[in-house]
Amino acid sequence: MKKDEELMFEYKIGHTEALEEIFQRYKKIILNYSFRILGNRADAEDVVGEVFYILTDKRMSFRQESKFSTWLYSIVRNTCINRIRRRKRIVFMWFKQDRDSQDFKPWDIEDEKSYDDDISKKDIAHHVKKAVSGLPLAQREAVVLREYHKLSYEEISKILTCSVSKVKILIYRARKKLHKKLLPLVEEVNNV
Amino acid sequence: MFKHFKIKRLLSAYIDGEISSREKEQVEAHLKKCRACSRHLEELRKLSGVMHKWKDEDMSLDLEQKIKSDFLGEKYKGVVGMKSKTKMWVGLGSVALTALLMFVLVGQTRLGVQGRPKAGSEVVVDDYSSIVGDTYSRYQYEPYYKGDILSEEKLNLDKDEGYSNRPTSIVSGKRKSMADWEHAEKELRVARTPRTREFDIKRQEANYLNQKQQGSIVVIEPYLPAYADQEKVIRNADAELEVKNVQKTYDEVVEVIKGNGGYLSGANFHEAKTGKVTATVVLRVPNDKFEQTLDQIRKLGDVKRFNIQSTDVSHQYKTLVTELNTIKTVYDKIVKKLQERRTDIEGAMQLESELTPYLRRIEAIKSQLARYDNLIAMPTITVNLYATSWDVMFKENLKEIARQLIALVSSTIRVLLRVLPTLLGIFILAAIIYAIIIAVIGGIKKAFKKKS
Repeated sequence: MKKDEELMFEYKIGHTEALEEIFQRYKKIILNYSFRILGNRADAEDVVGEVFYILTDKRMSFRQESKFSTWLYSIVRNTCINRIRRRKRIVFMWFKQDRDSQDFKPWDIEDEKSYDDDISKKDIAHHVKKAVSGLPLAQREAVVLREYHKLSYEEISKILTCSVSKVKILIYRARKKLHKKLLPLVEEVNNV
Repeated sequence: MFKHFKIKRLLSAYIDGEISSREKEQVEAHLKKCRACSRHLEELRKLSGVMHKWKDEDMSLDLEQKIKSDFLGEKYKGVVGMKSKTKMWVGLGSVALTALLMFVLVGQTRLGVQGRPKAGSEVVVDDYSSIVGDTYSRYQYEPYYKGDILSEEKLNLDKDEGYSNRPTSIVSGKRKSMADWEHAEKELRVARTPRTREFDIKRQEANYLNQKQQGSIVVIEPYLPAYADQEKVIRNADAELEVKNVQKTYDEVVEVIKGNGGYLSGANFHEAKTGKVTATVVLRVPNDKFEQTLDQIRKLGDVKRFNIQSTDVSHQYKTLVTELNTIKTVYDKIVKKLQERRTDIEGAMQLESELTPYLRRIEAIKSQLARYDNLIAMPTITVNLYATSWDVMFKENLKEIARQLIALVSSTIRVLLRVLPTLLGIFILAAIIYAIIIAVIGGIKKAFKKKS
């Protein structure tokens, strides 16, 4: 099997089939990462499209000596952040929320409603989703990359453009919060 | 206790296997002893399991299809695949090419926006300089703008006028045929030939020679005026000074006069409604101190205007003196006769009455000469002083400032209006060329791909 970097090189010199292979390898990763960061399926799908557009447009800016997955994750991350900013702007425009408030929740109102019935309350996945979304963005990014994408701390630090020790702290704090929120709920659900 | 918390913090990295071997040893040693930490580790592992209840989602077929068609489909191959840098260079090249094209086109139609006029139409000139070329320095003609009509009549008029140093009468012209146009152009060239002093002198010489050959020249001997023995010149000067304080400068002027043995002939103060203070000082100084005084006065303020006039009255003076001498001779003769006829009272009285007009004339001439003497000995200097503050200047020049501002704005707008269509043209042409080049490159790429 060819490495990602090799595929990217082939794509750069004009083999569009290589992009197809990259797409197959990363489509799920991009979708799920953006979904977990944004918490909204529609937005996540948009991000996938955007990321592939950027990938094709900026392919020449990929340096062959760097790791492809890290580069791609950075693109996805930036696209997600841009989307959050845009969404915040729109929300502020309509509801005139306090611009400085940090606890902005990017969740759909519809999502909340649909999960409000009894059956979904037992759904642990729903609670996990809610808890993860409740984390500050940096912690959310770090913990998602670690838990769901199994990236090393060093890779995460490259994607988030910070130090490894910062990543360590981010993940520790995120887990502390999740631990506090999720474990009692899990006990409760299991007891029912 | 401290160690306990430290270890607890490390547990998160521990389950990820992201701690150093030394730390790992420490953690594992502590875990054996501390039940709380062991439980926490267990919980963290459990948490990881719980989090994975949120399962990965699959991409919908629709989205996959859409992305494939957007980025991996046939239409994506080729044109859009061009490097963005290449695109940029193609764009720049298009603009440069268009500019070159425009340059060539405009260069060929320099005779005006419409190009060389067709026979039988009115000439509308864009800029006069574009017709006459660069033979003529810019200051020697008024520029012609588009819309001016050149008339042959006026061209001829200017040609006849010819000799004038700065012909400005050619403002417009009318052209009836192509031949006229050629003619007009030639005439313009002639009329606009720069005239220097040398040129004028040569022309005069040529005329002179020409006339001499025809034998029609009348040579007039130079008229030599009768010079007086001593030159009698009346000098006066006037100066305008801008000063900070009129009263102070006035005092200084008076000091200067006193120092040079002159006197104050007249003075006048005036304050205008705008706040402008002016003063006029007329002073007389001895002739030999004239230059010295002027130098001193010039240093008192900012000289705005300075003027020295000399009137040579030698001739008049000499004439008067001669007349005086003549009359004196006649008068003396009469007096002599009177003395001879001392006994004849009647005759003496008659002679005396004859003497009166001579006497009057002598007195008049004497006073005239005295006046001349006075004017020559004591030249007059008129000094105008004024002080202005910035706001007064502004008030006085408000109209002028406004006029110039309006002129500036209007000229800017005019220039913009003239340039705008050209820019628009360049832009549209560049866009077309850009699109063509992109399409051609795309086509070539596609063709190559098919072959390979």
